[in-house]
Amino acid sequence: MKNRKQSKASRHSLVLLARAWETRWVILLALAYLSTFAWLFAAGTVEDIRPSEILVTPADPAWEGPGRDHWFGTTSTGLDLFNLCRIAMAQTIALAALASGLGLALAFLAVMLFAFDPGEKRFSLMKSFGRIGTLMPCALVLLIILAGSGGGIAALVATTAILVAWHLGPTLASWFEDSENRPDIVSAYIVGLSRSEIVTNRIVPATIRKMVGVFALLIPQIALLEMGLSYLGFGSERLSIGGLVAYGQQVIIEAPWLAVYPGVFAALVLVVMGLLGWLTSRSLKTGKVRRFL
Amino acid sequence: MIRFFGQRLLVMLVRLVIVAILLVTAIELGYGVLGNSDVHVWEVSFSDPVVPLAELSGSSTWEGMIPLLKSSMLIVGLAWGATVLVGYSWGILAARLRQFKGHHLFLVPWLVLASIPGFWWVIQVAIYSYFKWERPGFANEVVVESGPDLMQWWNAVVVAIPLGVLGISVQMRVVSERIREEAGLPFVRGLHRAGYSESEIFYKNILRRLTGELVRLSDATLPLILGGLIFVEVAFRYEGMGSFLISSLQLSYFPGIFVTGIWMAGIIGLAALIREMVVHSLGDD
Repeated sequence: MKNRKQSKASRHSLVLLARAWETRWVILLALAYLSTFAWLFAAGTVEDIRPSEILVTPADPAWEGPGRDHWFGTTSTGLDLFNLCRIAMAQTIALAALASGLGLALAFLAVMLFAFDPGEKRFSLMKSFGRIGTLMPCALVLLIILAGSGGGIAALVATTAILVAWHLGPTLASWFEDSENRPDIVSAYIVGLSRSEIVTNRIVPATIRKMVGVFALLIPQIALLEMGLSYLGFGSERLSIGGLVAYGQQVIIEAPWLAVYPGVFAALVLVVMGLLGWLTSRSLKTGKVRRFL
Repeated sequence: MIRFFGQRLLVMLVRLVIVAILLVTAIELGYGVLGNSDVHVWEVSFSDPVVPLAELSGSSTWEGMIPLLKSSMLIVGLAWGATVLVGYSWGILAARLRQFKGHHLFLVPWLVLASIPGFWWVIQVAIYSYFKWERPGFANEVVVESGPDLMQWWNAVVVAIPLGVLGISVQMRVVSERIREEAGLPFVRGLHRAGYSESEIFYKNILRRLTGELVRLSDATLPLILGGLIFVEVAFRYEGMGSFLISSLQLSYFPGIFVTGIWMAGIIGLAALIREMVVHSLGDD
């Protein structure tokens, strides 16, 4: 007689398949998101590109308008603008991903400091601090720090991460509080599981899953902010779409494509990433996240 | 009511004091600690000539800030007004159409528009007006010396549009999400079973129950609009508080940075105070 009991391996693979099917939309969206990343990063690296050397207008500029060879035209030094936009956008997205990841990790750490406390008002200090933050636009704080410090990457990433943590900390805290009213959590308390078991094994995984959606939503927002800061000249010596547009504005009569196409490119990439982020967040049922940047 | 107003005013003032402390800390951290500046926040004086204002409004006293304040308030008013009007109506409409498949697509146009960098948009308008109408495209290039200053309105609208679009995209989303959340509650199913029509349930029950909460969302977009103002004003060379802030930052003029920060916090705080009073008067605390 054939043994109908499934082996451990096949049982595990079936469970894995079932989970993959449950999260098929998230996987598809994550793949699309990562493909956009990969396409941007495939353009090259920024190591040998210095904005101060390429965004200048020599006496005899070598720029060319948009054509078949150069879709977006070329810069005054003869560089392909489309490729330059891809490299600049890749760097911006990398910075945005780093800042939002660090910010979310900081917010999570801050929430975990209070999460094991059984008191009902354990998050009240964090929430009060968060409310004060709403009185000040984040862009203002970033501008002050970057203008004073010279606009380095470390200052940008660290300040953005702190701002993300400051504003999202209360949201994460409210997720924790809402989770505690879920029927399965109430049942777990009744059954006699300890608080640390419930927080670590039930509430934290659900919160981390939602954080993935927030991460996807944050990247285009931070990227937009970084471009704005670079446009204003607080982007230090790094290549950015904002810097390209600012340079294009200086030569608006001679080479208008330098001000037009980088913006078109940035808008398209941000639209794609924004929509993918929104759909990812919806698939993961992240819920309301205040837009603060 | 007066007691409530006094309480909220006190809370707002305390928050403003904390914001002032945070601003001073951020300035000292940015310039003094990270930037190794020789000048510190405790060494500056408000009575010195206001250098950034001399470039923008021609006056180096604080009185020169009044036209900049008026110009920026006009933009904030236009952008926030559009946000409230369009954001609420679009959000309510999106929630009303929730039974239809693909109703989320209704929100997509604004989300797409909000992804366009605002600073780039105003530059495009400037390029277009220069090449199409053969007149200077940026805000500081034409001064109307006699007659009604229609250019001021044109410039303000150009700057307000990207900020309004950003505000609308956020406002409609939070409004529609909140209404849809309410529409998923069991009492709505009960009303359906009792034979109430969809429009009766939506307008006379769901919206009526949510009035207070929807009012509470009215000032949620102000920090975004004020933050965006800084970038868009500079891009369009519009002389307002955003341009003043950037000049102050570039010249390391700390009082200018501080005053602009407090102005922004003051507007947001005042809007929050008015919103709290309205919600309180609706009896929905």
